[in-house]
Amino acid sequence: MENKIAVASLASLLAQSTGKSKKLCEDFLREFFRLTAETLENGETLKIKGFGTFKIADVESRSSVNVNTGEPHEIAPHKKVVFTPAKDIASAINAPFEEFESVEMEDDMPDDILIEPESQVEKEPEKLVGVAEKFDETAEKFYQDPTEKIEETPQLEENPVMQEESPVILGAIDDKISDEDNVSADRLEEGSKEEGEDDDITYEAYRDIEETHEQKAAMPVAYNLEETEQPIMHEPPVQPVKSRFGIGFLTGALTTFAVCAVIFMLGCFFDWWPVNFGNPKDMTAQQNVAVNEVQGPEQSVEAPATPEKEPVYDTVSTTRYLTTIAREHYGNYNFWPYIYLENESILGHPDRITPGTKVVVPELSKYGVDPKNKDDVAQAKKKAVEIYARFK
Amino acid sequence: MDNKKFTEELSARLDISLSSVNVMIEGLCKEMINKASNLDGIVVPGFGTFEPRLREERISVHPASGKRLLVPPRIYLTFKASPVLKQKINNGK
Repeated sequence: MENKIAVASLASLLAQSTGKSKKLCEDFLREFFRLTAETLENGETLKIKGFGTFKIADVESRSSVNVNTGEPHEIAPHKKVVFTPAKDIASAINAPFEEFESVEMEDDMPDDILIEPESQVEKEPEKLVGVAEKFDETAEKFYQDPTEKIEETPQLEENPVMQEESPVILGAIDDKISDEDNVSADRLEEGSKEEGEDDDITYEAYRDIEETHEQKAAMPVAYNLEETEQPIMHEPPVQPVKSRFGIGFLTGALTTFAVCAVIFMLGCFFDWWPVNFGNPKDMTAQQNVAVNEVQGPEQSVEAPATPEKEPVYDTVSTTRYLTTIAREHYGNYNFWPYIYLENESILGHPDRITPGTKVVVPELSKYGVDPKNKDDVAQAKKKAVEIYARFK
Repeated sequence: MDNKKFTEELSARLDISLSSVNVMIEGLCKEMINKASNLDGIVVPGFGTFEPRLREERISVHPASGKRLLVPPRIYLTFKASPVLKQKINNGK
C-alpha cells in the first residue's frame, strides 16, 4: 500500500501480463514516456486511448511569499502539465466505491452526527455526569457484594457438580434480588422464630431445587433419590481436609437455618408449599436472598432508589435540572425523560424549564423500567433524544 | 497529437507492429489500475509521478440548491510532472 513503483518493476509486471519479453516492455515504457514528454515539450495535447490525456496549461503569474524569509515575490507565468485519466481508468480505480452515491442530508441533521446524542442532550457540567456515573458504580458494587457471599456458601457445602451450576443460579438470583429483597426480609423476621425443625429434609429439598432448576421439573421425590446418591460419590475428596469440612458444615448449617425458616414461613403462611416446588427457580432466588439477609445486610443502599408510595415532588432550580433530580431519585441521570413525561403538561423545552417549577417524580415501576437494567438505560436515552426532537 | 499518431510513432520507434503497441498500452493501463487501486504510485524518472490520492467521504453543500450532500470517498489519479519535464516544457516556448 502506498508504495512507489519504479519503471523497472512496472516493466516486469507488464511483461507478465502481456506475455512480451521484459526487455521489450522496458523499451516500450521508456519510449512511451519519452514520446509523451517530447509531445508535451512541443506544447501539444496528447490523448492516449484508454490511458488519459496530457495537456499543457498556462499558469498566470501570482504573488507568493518565500516560506523561509517571508519576503513576498512574484511567481512568473509558466506552463504546467495536466493529466486527466481516461474514464475507464478512473471508474476502474473507484470500483470499490461504485455503489455509493451522494446522499442528500436532512436539514436538521447536525454535522457531527457521529457524536453520541447524549453529549448534546446533557446540559449538566461534565463533572456532575462523572459523579453520577460513580454513583452508579458504587450502587452496582453494593448489589454485587451479596451475590458474592452467596456464591461462597454453596461452594463450601456442596459438591463440584453444584459449583458448575452456581453461575447459572446466581444469574437467576441477580434478576430476582432487587425485587425480592424487601419482601423476603419481612418474611424472614417472622419465619426465624420457628426455625430449626427437620433440618435434613429441608436442606435436601433446598439442594433439590438448586440442582434441578434447569430442568424445571415438578417432582421433588424423584430428585431426592438422585440427590442421596451424589454426595456419596463426591465424599472422598472432601473428607481428608477435616477443618474445611467443619467450616463447610457450619456454613451449611447456617444456610439450612435460613432456608428452613423461609420455607416454613412460606409453607405456613402462604400455603405455597406444593405449588412452589413446581417453580424451583423462584424458590432458590428467594432463599438465597434470605441467606444473604442473615449474613450481611445491605439495606441502606436501597433507600434512595426505592420509590415511595406518595407522589414525590421536587423543584427545578438553576442548579438542579431534571437530570440532577433523576440521579438523586433513581440513581441514574439518564432516567430524566420519565420525570419529563410525567410533567409533560407543565413543561416546555427540557432545557428551558423555569427555575422553581415543581415537578412530580414518578416511580420508575410505573413505566416498567429499572435503573440497573442496561436495556432500560438505553431506552431512557432514546426517550431523551425523542423529547429533544420535538423541539426542533 | 492524437492517439493514432502517437501509436504509429511508437511502433516506428520500437520497430514493432501497431497492434502490439496497442496491446502494450492496454496492459499498461491495467497495471496502472491495479497499482492505483492499492494506492500505489508509479514513478517515472525524468517524466513524473502518477499518484492515486484517496479522498475521504465528506459533507459538501450543493451550490445551487443549498442542500447538504454526503459525498462518498473517491480515489483520484493525479500526475505530478518531474522537475526535468517542467523545465523542458517551460523552456520550449
